[in-house]
Amino acid sequence: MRPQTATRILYLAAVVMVSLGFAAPLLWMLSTSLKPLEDVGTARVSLLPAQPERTGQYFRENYYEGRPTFVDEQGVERVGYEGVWTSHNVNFPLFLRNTLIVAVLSVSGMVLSSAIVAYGFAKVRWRGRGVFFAICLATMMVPFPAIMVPTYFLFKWFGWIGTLQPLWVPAWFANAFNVFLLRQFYLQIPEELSDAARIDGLSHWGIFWRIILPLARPALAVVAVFHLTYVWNDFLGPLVFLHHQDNFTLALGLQFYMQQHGGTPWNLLMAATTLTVAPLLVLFALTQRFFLPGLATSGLKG
Amino acid sequence: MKRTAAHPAARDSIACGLAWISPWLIGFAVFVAVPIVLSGALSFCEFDGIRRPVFIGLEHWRGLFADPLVWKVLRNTAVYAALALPIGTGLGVALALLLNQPIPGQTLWRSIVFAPSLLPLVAVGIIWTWMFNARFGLINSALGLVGISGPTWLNDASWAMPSVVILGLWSIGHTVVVYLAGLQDVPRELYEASHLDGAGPWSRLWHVTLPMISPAMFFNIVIGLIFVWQIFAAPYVMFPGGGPERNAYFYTMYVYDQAFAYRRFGYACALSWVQLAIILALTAVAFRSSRHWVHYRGA
Amino acid sequence: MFHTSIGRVLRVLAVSALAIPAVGLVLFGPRAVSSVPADRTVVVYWEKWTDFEGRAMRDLVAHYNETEGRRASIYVDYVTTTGIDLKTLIATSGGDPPDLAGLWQRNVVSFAASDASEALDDRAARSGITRDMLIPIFDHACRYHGRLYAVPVTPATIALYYNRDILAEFAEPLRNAGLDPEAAPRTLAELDAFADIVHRRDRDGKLEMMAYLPASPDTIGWFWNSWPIWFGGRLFDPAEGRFRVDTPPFLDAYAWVQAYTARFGRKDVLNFEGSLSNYSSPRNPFMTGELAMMRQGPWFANTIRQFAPDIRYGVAPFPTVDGRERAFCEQDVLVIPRGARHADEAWAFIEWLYTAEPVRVQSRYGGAGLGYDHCEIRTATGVERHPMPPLRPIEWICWMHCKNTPLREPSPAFLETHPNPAIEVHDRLARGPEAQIVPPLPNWTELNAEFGAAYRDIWMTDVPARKRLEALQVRLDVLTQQAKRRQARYGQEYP
Repeated sequence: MRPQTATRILYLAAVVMVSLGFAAPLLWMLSTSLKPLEDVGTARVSLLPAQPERTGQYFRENYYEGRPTFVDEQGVERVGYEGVWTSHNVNFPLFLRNTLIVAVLSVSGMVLSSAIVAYGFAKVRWRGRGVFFAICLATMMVPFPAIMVPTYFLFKWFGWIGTLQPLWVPAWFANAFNVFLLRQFYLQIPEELSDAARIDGLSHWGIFWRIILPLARPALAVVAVFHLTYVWNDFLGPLVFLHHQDNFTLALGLQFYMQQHGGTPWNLLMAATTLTVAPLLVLFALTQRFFLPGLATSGLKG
Repeated sequence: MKRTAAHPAARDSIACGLAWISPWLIGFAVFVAVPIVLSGALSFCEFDGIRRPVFIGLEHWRGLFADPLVWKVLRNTAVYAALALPIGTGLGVALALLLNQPIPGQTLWRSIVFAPSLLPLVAVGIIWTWMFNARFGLINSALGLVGISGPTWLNDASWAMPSVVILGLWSIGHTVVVYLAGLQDVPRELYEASHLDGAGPWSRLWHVTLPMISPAMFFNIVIGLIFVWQIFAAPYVMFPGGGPERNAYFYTMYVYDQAFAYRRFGYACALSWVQLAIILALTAVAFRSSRHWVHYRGA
Repeated sequence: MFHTSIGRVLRVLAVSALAIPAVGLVLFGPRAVSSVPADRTVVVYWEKWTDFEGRAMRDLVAHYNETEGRRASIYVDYVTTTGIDLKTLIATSGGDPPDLAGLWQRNVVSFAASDASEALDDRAARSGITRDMLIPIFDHACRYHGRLYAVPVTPATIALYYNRDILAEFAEPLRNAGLDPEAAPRTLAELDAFADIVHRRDRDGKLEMMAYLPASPDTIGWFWNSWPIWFGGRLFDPAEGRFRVDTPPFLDAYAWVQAYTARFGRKDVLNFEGSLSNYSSPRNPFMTGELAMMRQGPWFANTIRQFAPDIRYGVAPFPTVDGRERAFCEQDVLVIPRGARHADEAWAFIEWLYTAEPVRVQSRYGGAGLGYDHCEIRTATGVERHPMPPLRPIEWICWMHCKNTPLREPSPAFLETHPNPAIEVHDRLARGPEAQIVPPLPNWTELNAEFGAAYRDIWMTDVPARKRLEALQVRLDVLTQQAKRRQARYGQEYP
């Protein structure tokens, strides 16, 4: 039942166009990160720097080494700057490390707790389930400015302000978004499987662990990817809860490239953004197969 | 009571249910309930973040209705929601269907579509401020290639809202992934059966595919409802002050300004509860309607 | 490719290639290195500055720690903080504020009115930092109800920067109109005359260069609403206790702003404006040659040197309605939040800033460039390099940030070697009798947002300026009433 070749070409053309639309801003971001500071300030709009043969050099400068102040061929003094990875002002490796720690702790906690809680809302039939699920969903509807300050005081009372804990400990208690997502998935799993298992003598925990969880692996992977993205880029949490620069995460570090007076070094800002996003992108590309099997359907034979 | 997948007759004890959801319940009680209750209490007080809160009764609530800006931001947010949600859903499904086709480079295309949602929101705002630049931005340059003279997106009162919608559409990678995951689950037999029945591609789409991914659609629509009303970060960067004629001034931006720029936390809390009520009402409608069009195969 | 077993192996390898460095980074990566010595009192200093501004302050703090700080057993811990006003407020509210916070001018009154910052009069008196030490406007800007709640750290005034090369291109028509292409306009009428002559359209008739744009992109936020100043008005009259935006200076000012779009065609101007980068980007329209004149602060010389060093530019006071010199001033300040644990030591650092002997500071945190070892002086023959002279700490930091000095009696070296060759203009403006700052109101941020909305409407739409200002007046009155009520609840007056 594969579509005709002509249709396939049509699909390919459509996909390429759509992808171009999505990718264009990213390409701009990448191209800006490969230009020297002077190019970013010109009126020229182009993908390549003014001296394209030096792109490799600019890549090294912007991302890694930086460059000293020097006098160029026209006798103009060009100001120097530090590369993203080695900057003293913005300790990128340290921020990356902090982000990794928070990400690993947060994602593992979220996946585990959400899997459990979603089972309670999907497969356990108890009175009041609807009410509690409604409350759970409602927690997503409270705009953050309202609870940011009280939450800060709460964490202060725990003594967590100044540590990384406010960023990952709450993830061990699930959150509505992921619970909802997994619940939808669990509801697709036929009750007959659970019924059969129950007849075999398994308890809820057994059913969860032996039947549901293995089937839910793709959905759990989606939760992991989504939450990883969220934690990686979360800016408001670290802004409010972290005080000392040694604890800062990548998203917060990006702010440091925004200048007050005078030029924001866009090439460095884009380089930092690219470095921030690259691990996630690569991870997504590599693990896609796991939760989007593609050609082969994994459809449950009903 | 009508038995459906989402509303089965109770068989397990409440204690069992609560035990299973206890991780969330404990977290809710500790991390969420207290701040929410506090913010509710604050909505009846005058609080500038530092001096002790002063009880003022219903003054914020009364003032809310008389505040012309509240109506402005409510209208803007409602318009945005009415535009972004249907368009986003349609586009998301269409993209998912497209990316599900057996074409070379599938991984690459999917990664490209998902990539924008990986960016930090601050970067998104900056990139798109540049994209929407009236003379040099990519959008108007592309339009220029086909002979259309693009508008001044960020400075024109009529184009501020569309530019926010476009920006939002760029980040639909998340919804597409959920749809894709849902599409994987559609049993092949159903397609074959409908093919044997002589159904054409549109009929197949309408009668097999969409119902089969209706749980995913329901998820995305509810999530969309909840978060489209809370749009904040990117417009905040792109439209300082709310944009031309404040047409890009959204509800959460206003709450943020009241809380952190003007330091009127009490008023901000009252505003937040109004937003909560609106979203709650809409979500309830969505849930109620779901019985009619969402099909869980586990039933 | 990913289907085959080789593909699987490759994928596993690729994931390991990501995972192993990640694990390595976590286990063996950089740790927070705490260099705070255990035997000294630590002053926690939160500051908003990043990039070269942050580096300069870090170096100054390091210098202090090694000299006076060592002697007094104080260690100042410089912490770069984003969203600093919000964070300082929350931290103060939580009882754990920094000892020193680098805030913006607009925060001074807001913090003082909320009792979030300490009054510094006694300390200042004891240290000999008297009113006479500071330029009046900068001192005035740090006071609320007469008491001192902050200390200036890097002040600035706004002036007109004009591109001599562009004006020279239009020398002929300018002279024919009786204007001098080598000098900036002194009155607003002259500015209009310049604008009529100095502009260029491209082949499609679209504006591609203008002399001046009253709504330069992104000047929104601090000095967009300063127009009435140049029309001889005051933004806010404390005697009246309210705004009067329906009075002549405001009406004339905004009518003038609106006339700009009328003269060139509103759509044309808005299109042109929409295509300009914001002023804090390297593609600032002045530097790309799209605008011949622009209001800016003294730091602009630094930016021009960095991104467009070939521009020949001049600096002059912004033209006013009658030709008198008037100024709009801004500054960054230092504040000691209420409840700071080491307020005395924090003040000791401030005292050092203002009263210490001139210093020479080493560059520790960044590449040495202009200012650490050399400065440039423009002479008749060109640019000469000189060794950087020692400067008092407060002047050193102002020098490095390329801003004004807050001192009534600046050191000659400061003005002579300043990176902005036209610093005298900025300095003169600060000392003038007509210097103004933002109104000292606790709710200024909210009022400013209303001003901004009105300004945008007047600039971008065809609503008559007078009508819009009347609507603004109504709104301002409502907000002022609300603010009065709020303050009254705490037994305080407004303003």
